[in-house]
Amino acid sequence: MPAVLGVSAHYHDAAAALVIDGKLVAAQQEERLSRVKNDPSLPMNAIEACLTLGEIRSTDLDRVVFYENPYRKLERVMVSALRGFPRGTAFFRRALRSQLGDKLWVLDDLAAHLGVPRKRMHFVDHHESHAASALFCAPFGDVPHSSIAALTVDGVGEEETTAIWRLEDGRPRRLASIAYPHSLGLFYAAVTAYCGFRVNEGEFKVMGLAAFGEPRYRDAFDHFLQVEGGAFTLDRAAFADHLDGARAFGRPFVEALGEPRTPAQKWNYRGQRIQGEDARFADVARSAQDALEDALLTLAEHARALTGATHLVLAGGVALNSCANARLLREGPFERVFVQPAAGDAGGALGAALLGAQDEGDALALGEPFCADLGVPIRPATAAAIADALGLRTTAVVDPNETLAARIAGGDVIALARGRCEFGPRALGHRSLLARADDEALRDRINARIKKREPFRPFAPAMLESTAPALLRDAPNDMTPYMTTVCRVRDRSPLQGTTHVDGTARAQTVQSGPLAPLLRCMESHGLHSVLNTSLNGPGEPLAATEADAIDVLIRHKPDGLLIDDLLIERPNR
Amino acid sequence: MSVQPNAGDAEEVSLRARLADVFYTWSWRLPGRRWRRLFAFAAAEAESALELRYAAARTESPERAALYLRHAEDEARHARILLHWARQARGQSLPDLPRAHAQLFRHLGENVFLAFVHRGERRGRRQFEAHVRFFSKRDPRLAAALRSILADEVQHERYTGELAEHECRKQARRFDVLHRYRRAGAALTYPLFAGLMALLYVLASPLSLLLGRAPRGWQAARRSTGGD
Repeated sequence: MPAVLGVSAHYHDAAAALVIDGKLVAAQQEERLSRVKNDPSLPMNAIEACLTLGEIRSTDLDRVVFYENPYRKLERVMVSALRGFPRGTAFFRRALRSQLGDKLWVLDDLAAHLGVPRKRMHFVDHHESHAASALFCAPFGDVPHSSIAALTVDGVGEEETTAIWRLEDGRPRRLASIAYPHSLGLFYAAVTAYCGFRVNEGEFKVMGLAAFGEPRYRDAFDHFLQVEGGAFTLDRAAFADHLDGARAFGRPFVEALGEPRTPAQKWNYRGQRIQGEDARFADVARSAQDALEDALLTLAEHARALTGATHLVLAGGVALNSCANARLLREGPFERVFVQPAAGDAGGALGAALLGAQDEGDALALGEPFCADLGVPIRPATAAAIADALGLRTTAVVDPNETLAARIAGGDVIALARGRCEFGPRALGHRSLLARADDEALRDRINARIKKREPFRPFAPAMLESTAPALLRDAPNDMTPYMTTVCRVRDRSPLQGTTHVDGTARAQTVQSGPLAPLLRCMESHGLHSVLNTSLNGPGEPLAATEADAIDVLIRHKPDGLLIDDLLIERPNR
Repeated sequence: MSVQPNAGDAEEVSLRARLADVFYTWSWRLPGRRWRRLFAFAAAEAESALELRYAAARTESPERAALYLRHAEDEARHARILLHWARQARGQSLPDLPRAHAQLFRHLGENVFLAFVHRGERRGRRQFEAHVRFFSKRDPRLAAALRSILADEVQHERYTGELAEHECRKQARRFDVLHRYRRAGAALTYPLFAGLMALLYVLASPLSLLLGRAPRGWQAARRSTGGD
C-alpha cells in the first residue's frame, strides 16, 4: 500500500497532497489551517491534516516529493542577481537570506519534521508538477494520451516560466520551454503591482478590473510583451521583479502609463462605472489582459502544432485567469480545454504526489472527474458547542436545503459549510457564502459589508448543469464545474447580481455535490441559480474548520451559517 | 498598580511605571516615532489575532475556542484602531500589515501557549497604561482610543491568567526570554549579514561576465531533473 506525500512550499500558497494506492485521498492548503492568506511556510498543518484524513502516520510514508528542484532554483536566483549587477544588491541579500535560511534545506527539514528517513525525500521539477496536476486530473478518460497536450504557464519555476508537455508512457514529457526572465506570470504581476494590488494575490482583481476599461495602452503593452514565432519575450527594462518582487514594474511602465496607483486607496466607482483617474487603471488592466490573452492563444497554437493534440490542459498561476481560459476554448485550436481548480502553486503538491505514486509503481486512475473536496471536514457537533459557548442561536433544521433555499429566496446571505473543504482558490459549495443571484443591491451589500472588497469585483453564479443553457450563451464545458472559466450570459437572464459589466459570469455548473440539492429546492422558489462566493472576509483564507466558519459569522455578519443541518445565527439579528 | 481601565489616569503609580513614563516620554518624542510605534502595535495586534484564530481552530475545548475567537476579534479591532492612528500620525498611506504568526499553540501546547499569552497581555496592559498617561494631556483623542484598548487588555489578562496553569508559567517565561533573545540576536546580526552579502555580491560580480544573455523563445526539450 504505497503512500506518497506531495509538498509545495516556500514561495506562495504552500500545500500538501496525499496519494495512497494510486488514489488521491487528501489535499490541503496550508493557509486554510494557519489562517495566513497564501501562507508559503512549510505546510506542517496541512501535512498533519492529510495524514489524519488518510489514517496513516508520517512514518508510514513511502515517499515524500517536493514540487520543485531547490538546487536549480538557487542557481537561477544567483544567476539572475549577478545579471542585475550592481542594481541587484538588495535582491541578492534577500534572496540569499531566504535560500540559505530554509529553501535550500527543505528536504532535510521535511525529513526531520516528519521523522522519515532522508532517502525517502525526493523532488521533481516545478513545471513537471504543474503538468502532472493537470494531465492526471483531466476528465479526458475517453481520449487517447497522444491527443492531450499540457501548457504550463506561471511566474517562474526553477528557470522555466512556460512549457509544453505531452503524456508518453503515462508520464509527462516536456517538449519545449521558455526560460526566465520571459514570463507571462511576471508580466501580469507587474500590472497587478502597478494597479496597486498585492502581487500573487491581486491578479484576480486586475482581471475583474479589465472589464471596465478600453485597450488604450495596447501599444505600450505590445512593446513590453512581444509575441512572435509562437513564443513571447518581455522587454526587461520595463520589469523589476529581479530587483523588487513586490513592485515588479520598472520605469518604462511609469513613462508609458503614468504614475502607479496608491495601494488601498478608495476606488472611484459609481453606477457600474469606474470614473476619474481610476478609469486609467481600468484601461491599463484591459490592455494588459488583452495582451496576455493574445500571447496565450499564440502559445496554444504552438502547442497544437508541436503535439498535434486536440485536447489541452493548463496549469500554473496564469491558468487561473478564467477570462483567458474562456477565450482559449472559444478561439483556440483545441476541441476541449481543462483547468483543474488548484492550478497555482498549491496544485504543485498534487502533481508531485501523483508523480511520486507513479515512481512507486502505482497505476493512476486517469480520466475521472476531479473532486475538489479534498481538505479537512467540518463537524456540526463541535460547531454547535462553540456556538453555544458564544451565545449564538442554534437550530437543528429538518430540511436544510429547503430552509436554505427559502432564506436565500427571501434575500438573506447565508454561509454554507458542508463536508470537506475545497482544494484550490474557488469555493465550490463546501465553504460558500450564498445569496440570490438576481439582485444587484444584494451584490453591492455583500461587497461593501461582508466581503469589504473593491466595489467593482463581480460574484459568480452556481446553477444546475441542466439549467445552464437557458441562462448562458456558452455551453457548460470541462472547466465550468470548477469555476476556472467564464461564460457569456444570455440577455435578460435573471443573473443581474452575478453578471460582470462585460456580460460574462464565472458560472459554476453543478451536477452533484453540496449545491445540487439546494439548487433543486430553489427551483420551487422560482430561482434557477445562486450567488456563490468564498466563505471568508477581506484578506483572509477560505474558512476550513468550525471555528473559522463561526468566526466569519460573528465578524462579517452574514445572516446565518448552515453546517449540515445546524443553523447558527447571531442572537441580535 | 490598579488594573482598572482608567488606571492610566491614576495618580499613584509604581516606581516601575514611573520609569516607563520617563522612557516613553523620551521615545514618543523622537521624530517619526509616533506612526512607527503605532504601526508596530497594530502589527502586533494583527499577529495576535491570527495566533488566536489558529488556536480557536485547534483547541479541543469549545469553551476555549469561543474565548479565543472573542479575543481574536478584539485584537483585530485594536489593529484597525491603531492603524487608523498610525495613518493619521504619518499623514500618508502605510505599508500592509505583515501577515504571519509563529503558530505558538502548535509549538508550545495549549497550556504554555495560554501562559505565554497571559505574559504578553500583562506586558501590553502595562505599556498601554503608560501610553495613556503620556497622551492624556497631549492628545486626549488618541488617549481615549488607547484607553478603549486597555480595557480589553485587562479582560484578556484576567481570563488567560485564570486558565493558565501555574506550572506552565515558568515554561512560558523561559520561552519568552528565548524568543526575545532570538529576535534581538537576529536584529543585531542582520547588519553584519547585509554587509557580508554586499561584499560577496561585489566579489562574485566578475562571474556575471561569464554569463551569456538570457535565452529567448522556445528552448528544446531537456530531461527532468528529479532527484533526492
